[in-house]
Amino acid sequence: MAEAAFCDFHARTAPSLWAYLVHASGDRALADDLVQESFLRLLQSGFNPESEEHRRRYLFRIASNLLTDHRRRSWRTAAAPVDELVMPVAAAAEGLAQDRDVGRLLRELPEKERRLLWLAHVEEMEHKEIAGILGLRSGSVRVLLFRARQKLGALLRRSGLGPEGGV
Amino acid sequence: MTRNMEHSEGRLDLAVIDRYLKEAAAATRAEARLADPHQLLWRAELRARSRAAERAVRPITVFRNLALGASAATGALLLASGDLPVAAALRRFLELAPGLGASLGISVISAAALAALWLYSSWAEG
Repeated sequence: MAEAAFCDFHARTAPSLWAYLVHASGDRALADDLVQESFLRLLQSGFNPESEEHRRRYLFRIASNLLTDHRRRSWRTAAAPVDELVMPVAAAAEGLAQDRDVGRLLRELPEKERRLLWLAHVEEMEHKEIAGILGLRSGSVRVLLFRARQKLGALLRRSGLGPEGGV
Repeated sequence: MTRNMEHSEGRLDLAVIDRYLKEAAAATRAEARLADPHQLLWRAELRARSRAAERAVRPITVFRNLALGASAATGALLLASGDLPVAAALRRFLELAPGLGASLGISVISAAALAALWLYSSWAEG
């Protein structure tokens, strides 16, 4: 991969990958490390896809595998404190409060469900792509995603952030 | 009608979930502190060189370990065949204490097994 092309790809992809890993793992330092390692593995793989989107999906797959490997190695699976997900200081007060709530509510879900929701809603990936990234079957993704949405929807409603909460 | 209400509630939930996750993503992306891509390229190159060096040295490591294993096996065979003065002395010692023969045999077999295990692990690491 040419240097300029890699730098462009990094600038476009790294912030999204970092956000995914921060919310999936709940650990900013770990997300920092995994983003770097993911890009390094991508470079080492010599993977030459037909499109940038394909490369992006491959990168997310690497990152997901690295996070899974890290979890397997680490006996400490407890989530990081909510403060790990502090949002930008520049954000408006209302938005800041909402974002913190999202962080808090997401943290109440298991890591697998957080990953599913993130890939489906933020990265707007199809079930098949999510299945490839998370090592699941497409049919399982559909069911698990449905359950995850139900849980998060219930949490949002209970916290007054859902449809009835006037959001 | 109830089914329709549930359906529309589900759609509303979906929209709310989508909006919240996207807002969270936008806020988190804005704070990303990312490594310099040039540094990543440099590190990738260093790793590639390091791996190439490891690959180049691997046959030497394997053959060195094979040679060590073969030496150990030859030594054990020479001791067992008794062509060396050391072996003769050992045999005389064993004649004085016949019970030691079996335990010495077990020791030799254990040592050979350990050597084989060590050889295999060295090869696997390489």
